[in-house]
Amino acid sequence: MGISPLTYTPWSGTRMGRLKNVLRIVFEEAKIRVTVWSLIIILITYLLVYINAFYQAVRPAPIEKYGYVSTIGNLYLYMMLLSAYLAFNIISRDLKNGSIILYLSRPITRIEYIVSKFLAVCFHLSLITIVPLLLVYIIDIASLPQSSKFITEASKLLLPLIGSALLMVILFGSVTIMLSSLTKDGKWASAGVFGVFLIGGFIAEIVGSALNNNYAYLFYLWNSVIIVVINMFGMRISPRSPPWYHLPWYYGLSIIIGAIVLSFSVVYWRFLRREGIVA
Amino acid sequence: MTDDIILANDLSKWYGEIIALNRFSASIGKGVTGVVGPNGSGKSTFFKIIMGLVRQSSGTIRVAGEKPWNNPKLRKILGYVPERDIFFPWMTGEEFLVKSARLSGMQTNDAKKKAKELLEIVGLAEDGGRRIYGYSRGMKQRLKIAQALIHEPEIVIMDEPMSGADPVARRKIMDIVHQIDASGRCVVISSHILYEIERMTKNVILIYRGWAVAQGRVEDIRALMNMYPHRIRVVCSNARDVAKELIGMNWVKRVGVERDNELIVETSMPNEFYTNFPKFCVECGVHVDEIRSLDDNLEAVFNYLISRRLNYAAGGERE
Repeated sequence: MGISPLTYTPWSGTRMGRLKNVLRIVFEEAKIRVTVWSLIIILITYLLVYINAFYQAVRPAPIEKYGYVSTIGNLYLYMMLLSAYLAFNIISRDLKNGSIILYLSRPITRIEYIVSKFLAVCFHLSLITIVPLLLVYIIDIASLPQSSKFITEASKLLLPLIGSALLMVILFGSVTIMLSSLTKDGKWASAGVFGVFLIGGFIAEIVGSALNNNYAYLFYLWNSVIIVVINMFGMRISPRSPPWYHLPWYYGLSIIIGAIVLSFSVVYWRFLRREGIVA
Repeated sequence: MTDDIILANDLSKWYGEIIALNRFSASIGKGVTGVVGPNGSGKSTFFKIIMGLVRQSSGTIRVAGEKPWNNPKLRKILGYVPERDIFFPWMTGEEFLVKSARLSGMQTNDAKKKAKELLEIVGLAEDGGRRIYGYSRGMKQRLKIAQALIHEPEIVIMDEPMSGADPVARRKIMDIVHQIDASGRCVVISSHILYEIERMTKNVILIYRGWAVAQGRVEDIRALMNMYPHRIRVVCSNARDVAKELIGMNWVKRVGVERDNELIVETSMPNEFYTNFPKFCVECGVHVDEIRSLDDNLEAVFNYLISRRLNYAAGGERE
């Protein structure tokens, strides 16, 4: 057997365009990630969400009270855990085992690579947020009295639910991609996720409390998310909620957009300005 | 496409304060071209620039007439065997090849068909179903070659493909290179082990500390060397006395006694030497057991040109 033209059968298949390139990588990533462990994590998360849904469903008229703030809060936690898992190996793994070179030596641009990885992270995060969130919503609707008042109230919740989930998916996705692209050692990327979303939040809370400054609380990304959810998407909250929850929505949105832009800027710099990624 | 498929002109690449390529110029056409140089001489950097993985700091490079940096269109016709591993170790060899083909834009069915074909070609047909982490070094090298060929590139860049491979794998890899060459493709292959390159091609670029010390066919480089001292080992009786006589000849530049029966003669006129030395031996009654040019292999050419280049760079006189 040899590589002479006689034995090396010419390939006559078609090559696909950029969008399909991206979708192909996302699909490949989805396949790789859905391992036994990730399935177990997803199942546990679904279970927790179902318990939460059950808890909500048995409460008297939950939708008419404070909506799904606690559910969104839980999802923030789940998303952080899944992001830490994804950051560990979405790009860090490629840097560590050299497969980044496999991607970049193919007809794939660096932008396509980054976008694909970002969409792959978003796909997994959505699997753990938007889908269970909608399930909770459907279970709640099915379990409560079917009055016209209830249906009106319930329909008002759809935008906050989907909006907040999408916002968090994009936020967590971009930060995850950034942290994962910064190191070959996945555990540092995972630690970075907790650093940004949890420890950074504690610091913001401490600073806000010490300075008695509501704006400092915005740097806890959860606060920014919830400010947008409450003041932009119109989710109702308890009157006893902290005063910074009533800051204008565009403050929170600015912080979130800033975090997303900063994340992509770092990734851009890492891939297109710094060549050390393959050196 | 012109005869020069890869054309580098005054290419320099800096990594911070470290210079990897220093005004490197070379032109590469069809067939197999060897890039030879010691570790750290800039071979891999040159290949990464060809592949568009890193960008040159200055100078120009064209691959098939195109700038390679971040040029996905060009990478459709490029195949790359990197020095380091690029595997997903948990995959089987076949899965890895299918993924590589898919990333090159092939449909799944085409990819599977091609993967099987390539596994056969590189001699891994029986191991295609095994996980890559269980592969030997030689098997991994062959799998890297397979992934580089799976999308049928016109130009194949191979960075140290025989590094760490056992003798059987080396032979197989050489065989594959000859077959790629026979298929009319352009192959650029690097090694720091000179005899390996010599067995695959006579067309070489010698690189050292980022400089292209010499380029061309080994014979051309050899002819170039005739302008400079030529070293010849002479095994004969009574070497010290012969040396005394030889030093007086105008076709001998320098003589060194290595052992009692061995001389190293340096001459700037090798043709004169080979014409006159037999007469000299007859006249002086010298019995010669062996005459061998020390510069006939690539290693000698390489060492010689590097030392000449270093002397020149250090401001020393050209010999």
